Amino acid sequence: MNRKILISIIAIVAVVVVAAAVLASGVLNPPADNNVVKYVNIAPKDQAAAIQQGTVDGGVSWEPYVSDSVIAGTGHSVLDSGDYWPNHPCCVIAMDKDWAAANPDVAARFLKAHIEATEWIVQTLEEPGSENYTLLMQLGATFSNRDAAVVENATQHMGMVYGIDDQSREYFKNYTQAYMDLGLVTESKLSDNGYSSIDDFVSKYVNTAYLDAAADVQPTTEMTTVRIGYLAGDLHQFARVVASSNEVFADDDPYAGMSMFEKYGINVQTPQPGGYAAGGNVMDAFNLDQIDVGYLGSPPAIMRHLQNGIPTEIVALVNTEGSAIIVKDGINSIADLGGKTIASPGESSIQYLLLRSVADEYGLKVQMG
Amino acid sequence: MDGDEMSILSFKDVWKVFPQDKTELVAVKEFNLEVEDREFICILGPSGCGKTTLLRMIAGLESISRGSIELNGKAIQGPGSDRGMVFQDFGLFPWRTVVKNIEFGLEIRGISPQEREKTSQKYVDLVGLKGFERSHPNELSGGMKQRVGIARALANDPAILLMDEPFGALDAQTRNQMQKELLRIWQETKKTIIFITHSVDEAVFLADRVVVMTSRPGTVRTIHNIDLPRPRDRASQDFINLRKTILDELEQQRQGV
Amino acid sequence: MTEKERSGLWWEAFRREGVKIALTVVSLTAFLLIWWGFSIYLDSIGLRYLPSPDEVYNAFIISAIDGDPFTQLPLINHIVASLNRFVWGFALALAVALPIGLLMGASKYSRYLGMPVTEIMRPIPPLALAGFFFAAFGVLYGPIITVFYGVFFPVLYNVMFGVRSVDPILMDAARTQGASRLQLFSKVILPFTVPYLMTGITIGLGIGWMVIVAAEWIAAPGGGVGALILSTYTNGAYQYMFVGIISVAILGILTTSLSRVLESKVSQWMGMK
Repeated sequence: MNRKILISIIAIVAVVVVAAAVLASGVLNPPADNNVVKYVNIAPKDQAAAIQQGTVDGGVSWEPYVSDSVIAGTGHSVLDSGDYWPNHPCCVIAMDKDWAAANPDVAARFLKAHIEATEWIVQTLEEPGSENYTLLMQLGATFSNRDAAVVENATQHMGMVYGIDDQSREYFKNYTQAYMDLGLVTESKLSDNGYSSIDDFVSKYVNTAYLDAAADVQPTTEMTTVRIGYLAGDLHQFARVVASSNEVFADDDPYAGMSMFEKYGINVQTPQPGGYAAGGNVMDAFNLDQIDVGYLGSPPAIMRHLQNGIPTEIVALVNTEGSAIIVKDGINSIADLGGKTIASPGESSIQYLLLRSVADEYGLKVQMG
Repeated sequence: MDGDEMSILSFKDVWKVFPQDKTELVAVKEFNLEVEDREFICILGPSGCGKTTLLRMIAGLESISRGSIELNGKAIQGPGSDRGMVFQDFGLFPWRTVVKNIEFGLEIRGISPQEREKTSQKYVDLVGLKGFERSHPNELSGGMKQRVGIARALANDPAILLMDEPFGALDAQTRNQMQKELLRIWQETKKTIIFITHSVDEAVFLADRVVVMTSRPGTVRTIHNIDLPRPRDRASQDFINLRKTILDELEQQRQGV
Repeated sequence: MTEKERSGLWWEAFRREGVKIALTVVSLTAFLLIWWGFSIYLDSIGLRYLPSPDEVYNAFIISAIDGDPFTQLPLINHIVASLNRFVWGFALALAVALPIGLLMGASKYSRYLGMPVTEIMRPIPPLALAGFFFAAFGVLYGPIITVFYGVFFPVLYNVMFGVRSVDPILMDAARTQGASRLQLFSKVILPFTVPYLMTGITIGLGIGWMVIVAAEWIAAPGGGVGALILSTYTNGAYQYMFVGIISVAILGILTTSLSRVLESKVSQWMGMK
């Protein structure tokens, strides 16, 4: 009987070890296919480490993590999003549709602060060496937990833009079309949400009325609390960082010690301190009525609005461009990505959509691997 | 005792002292006894008199503080297969079948499987467990478990069998039956037996000699030769007289006389 | 026993089993219908997070054949990837915890040496460390180490407890039979500990499954059911998310019932039930 137990234990251990060996040897996994780009979901802040460890051959991410890898020398860019989609809108401000309709003046005041912050950044970037410039780099470094050098590099690879023009609308249509072409959003979702076509959807989902109204907004002492969501460590949303900072006004300025949001009577509240991991999470926060205003990539806003009917609308741009595919040495073109593994922030990100769209153009399939 | 009978086990001024926090607890003191070959000795005494400690010293499970116990002229140093022990709570290995329990000591000694099987079968037959070879202890009654215990102790063919209140956990009827069985086995195997009990009736029924111990520190108080012929009749006047003598002695002892 | 009595008994047994089966069917059907009704109701008031059973079924078919549209990886690849991590983490935990548990159970000094550390580490939920493991061991080994951590302590403590629970009479019995220290260990302590080990394994399997899904949220090269759930969740593709959830449920039920059967079989073999 003792022997029987011993044999059973040995048998179990043997089965476990053999099963593990079989699984690990990849017998059940298809061999590397040169027509497939494999991707792994890794948060952008961890991508540089993953490339260094050799777990992945590259990563697609946003600023400052693109500049982080480039400056650290762990990788080089094989594609800047601006080269593929020139001037493409990236992050946007989305608002809870019902909340904005009920508080149009608050929405306009919020956007006025956003406009002022964006203009302040654009102007400051033109004055390297100035006091404001140092402050800007400092704010970016603190927020993203990266060196000022990384922040400086990042600012050179993206546009700080708030206005939505026809070109932006064309891009929103392209994103929507891409989602449908790739099968990520079914076409029936348009009619499910009451849209007759992609043109109809974009014309209704993008609402510039509050942005137009913001032009006439004056500073106010009346304070209104607005709950916002944003992405963790995402420098695309630099304007939010600046608008929230109480250091930007000079000492002789009547608003010294206040933030731009406060100047226009906006008391910002963040239900998720430190920010959300991905745009999809910001949309979830809208769905759960935890936030009134959200900073997120336009693709996840479009995707989740169509997918789950979350009642939101895009009211302003935050930045353009600013994403890239970073790869390690030896990879020099998109075609080289076949059979390689790339880190991605998640399927609801503009970076994933960029990777899928580019790969599709080169006849490569993108698959988790 | 006849002087020409060989002494197999001898206790020479045996002491057992347990160190306590600040003092010492003397469990056994000045214990002297000569045990003859094939003799059946019962050791009787009030609880806590050190009789179990004494048995564990013979088994080598307890060290001897002073003096010595010699088996066939050799001082006992530790446990060994030349002494078989039977426990009150059986001490059977629950994951082993009856035969595997009996074969345990043979396995330890590296006896071949064929040899082991032959030996264990012999003892299965001896203790009357035929048909239960493949059973596990938890499938057996208390009496049957102790039969396995006895067979296991005998399987090593020890010089001496040490039994620590082996029937203490059994009901009265099974107990009487097991006593008869033990006498039969003793007669068939011709072993020397040291049997611990606190039942005067059991001691008188089984033993050649009954050793009555004093209460702690335990030592030999009196030794009674039981010259009754076997099988013994519990209802006979001689049996009753002997039992009364020993019971009175224990009673006196309890009253501190 | 007459023919009539026998058929009566048979009828009794059938009725008992029949009632059980009928109630099981009723329970599952009711569950499915309530789910379905609830999803239709939520959809009608504009909340679209609960997909209906037929949407999940369709998503399941697509996931099984071509893979869901997001990860593009067939369901079986996700399952194999998760199992792979799970088995490695589990085997590693077993291989390390068993000898350490035996040692700490058998030797007072190694227990004094080991306990302060294990007592500090044991209450830390594995997921609290998942990020650290990812950073320290990389995306490949991070989730495996997380599973390892979850399985390690139940196995260690059960084995240690098993060794310390060894009946002293059994040790005495073996010693009087002439067993050496090594033989005491291999023939008494080790077999005595097996049922305790099995209990540790059953608990460890349960924790392992909880841990693997969340560990794959951090990073999961080669996919994984946890990665599937996260990807489809952030995209609001809930029908695919439920495919992942149901897969985990089925795998969890399979592994824990397998270990339960094994546990009871082992104690039965060993006569220790």
